Amino acid sequence: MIRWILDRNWFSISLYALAIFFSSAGIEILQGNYFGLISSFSVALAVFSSKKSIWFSLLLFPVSSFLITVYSVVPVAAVSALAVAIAVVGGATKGKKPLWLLVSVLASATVISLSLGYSGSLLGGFLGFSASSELVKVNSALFTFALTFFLFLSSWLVGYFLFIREFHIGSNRDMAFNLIRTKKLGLEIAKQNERLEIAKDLSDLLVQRISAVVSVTEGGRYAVASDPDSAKRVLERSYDAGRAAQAELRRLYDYLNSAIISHVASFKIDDLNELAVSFRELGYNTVISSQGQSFRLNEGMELCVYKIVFEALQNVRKHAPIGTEIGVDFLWVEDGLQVLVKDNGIEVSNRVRQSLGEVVGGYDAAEDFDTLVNKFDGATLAALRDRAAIYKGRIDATQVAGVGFTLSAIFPDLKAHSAQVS
Amino acid sequence: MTDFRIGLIDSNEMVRSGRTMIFNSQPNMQVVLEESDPLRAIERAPEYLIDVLLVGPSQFSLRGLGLIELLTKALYEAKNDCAVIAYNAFTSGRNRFDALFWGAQEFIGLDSNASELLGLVHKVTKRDFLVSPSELLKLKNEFGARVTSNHLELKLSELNDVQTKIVELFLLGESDQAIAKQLQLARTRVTQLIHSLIQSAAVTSRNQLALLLLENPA
Repeated sequence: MIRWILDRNWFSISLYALAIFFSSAGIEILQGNYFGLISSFSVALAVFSSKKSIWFSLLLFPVSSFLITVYSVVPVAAVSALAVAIAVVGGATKGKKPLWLLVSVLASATVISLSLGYSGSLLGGFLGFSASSELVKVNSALFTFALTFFLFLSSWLVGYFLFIREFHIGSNRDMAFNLIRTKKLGLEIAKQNERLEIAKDLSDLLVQRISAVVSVTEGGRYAVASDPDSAKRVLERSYDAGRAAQAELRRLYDYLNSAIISHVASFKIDDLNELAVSFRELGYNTVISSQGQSFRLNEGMELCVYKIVFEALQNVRKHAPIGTEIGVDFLWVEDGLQVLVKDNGIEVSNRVRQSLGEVVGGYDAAEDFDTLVNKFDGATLAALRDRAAIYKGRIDATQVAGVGFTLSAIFPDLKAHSAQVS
Repeated sequence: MTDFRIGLIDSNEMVRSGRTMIFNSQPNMQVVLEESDPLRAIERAPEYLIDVLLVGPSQFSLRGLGLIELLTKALYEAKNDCAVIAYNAFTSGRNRFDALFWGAQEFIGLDSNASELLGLVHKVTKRDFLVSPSELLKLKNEFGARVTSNHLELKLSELNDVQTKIVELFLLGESDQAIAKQLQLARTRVTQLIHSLIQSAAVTSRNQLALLLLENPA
């Protein structure tokens, strides 16, 4: 809940709720009907609660319909406001719980038709009739039900498709998500491609070894026929060839069952600039800086550094609220490189909590102690450590009390290692 | 008396050893050249009196098809008419087409047994050996790109009726002797015509010529 508030997810939905409330309530007030505020408020509340508590929101729709039938003097306007609210909720819930939303819409339409439809007050004004007989009342109720149900259902679909159009088709946010997803997939593909290439080379070797075994054994069959003394030599050679094939097979087996990482990929440190833009688009102010004289790295190292920063940024996005500032610093020294990924997620979190009225003090002794003692670990961090270890690098993740987290990757001999590998 | 002198080019010593045992166990075959370095093989092989040269896939500095091409050219330029059999770990149409396309007389996979290899040695040493045209056409349709030779086109346009008939029979897979007998010609005349067409097409083997002509029938 706090994270939801910190991320300001409530902001846009509350604007919609207010707009619906003011427009619906305004019409009621113009008619001098202050009780109409009750139904308007109920509709607005249904909208506001939709993002965090969808069940409550769905329950409020039939309730609001009932309140409209009881308190509204301009039912057409109120029902229209309800339709708009359903459209907003349809978009806000991103198509979730469609069955229950249908039930809610059905119940709302039923409530309206049983009351306003049966009495003829909703359609009578438009069509110029009065519900004088039972038949007219029933027909009016049925017609109202069909009309309102269709209206609400259409509103929901329109809201849902507008949401998709706004957030999922070519929007900056969507493109930022896509870019990050693409980069992630690209890394995985690069890694798999490299593994495939190495496995292919190993299997080529294996094929040669097996061919050698077959060749020597088959040759032996012919040689033994003409020279029985050659049997011992043939068997020895076959054994050697078999052992060599077995060794290759073992290498292939070990390789396919290990997590050796890629040394070949297209990702470079420069690509991080593009990634930083995407993170800024998502609300994380990401700045990349570089100090010292950089030197050339081979592809494997570039990928290694890229992957470390990429995972660190993903981690910030996962744990820190929107508005967090992220600094990616490259510190080049004569023979090595240090990469620091720093964020102020805790600070931003505390600031928002304070702005919401919560009492948040500075960090205390316990937090300070934790900062010194606690080691952060996890599968991703372990994988990054393995990756860095290939280039004699070390990775440390620390919490800066009251501020955020810092990930430090130090490669003391990167230059020498680069020269060796390339 | 050795009827077949064999050369082996393969960096895999075990494979060479196995093949050597097979050939040397035959009363009429003898391995006279073994080479693991392909570049040295290109230098040495043309100087040897060899009937069949077996060329493997795994080489230190030159792999597979590049070696076949350079080797067949070197042999052709030295007027050494030994037959080249390329081999690889597995039998496949693609491998066979590539080997034939670059000048080998035949291809055999290491997954074929020794008797097939020995049979193939006997077959390719016939001077007018040609892979079955229907098989060549099938391989070409499956794997080949359209290749043309202007000189060959010119040469073909200058052929008289008898020569055209020779080419037609050649493409039906008839031996030089059979063609000569059908057309009541001297065998050398048939052989010379085929040879001049090979020269015009700037290729080195009858298979290569057939691959070109099957696309451009006379």
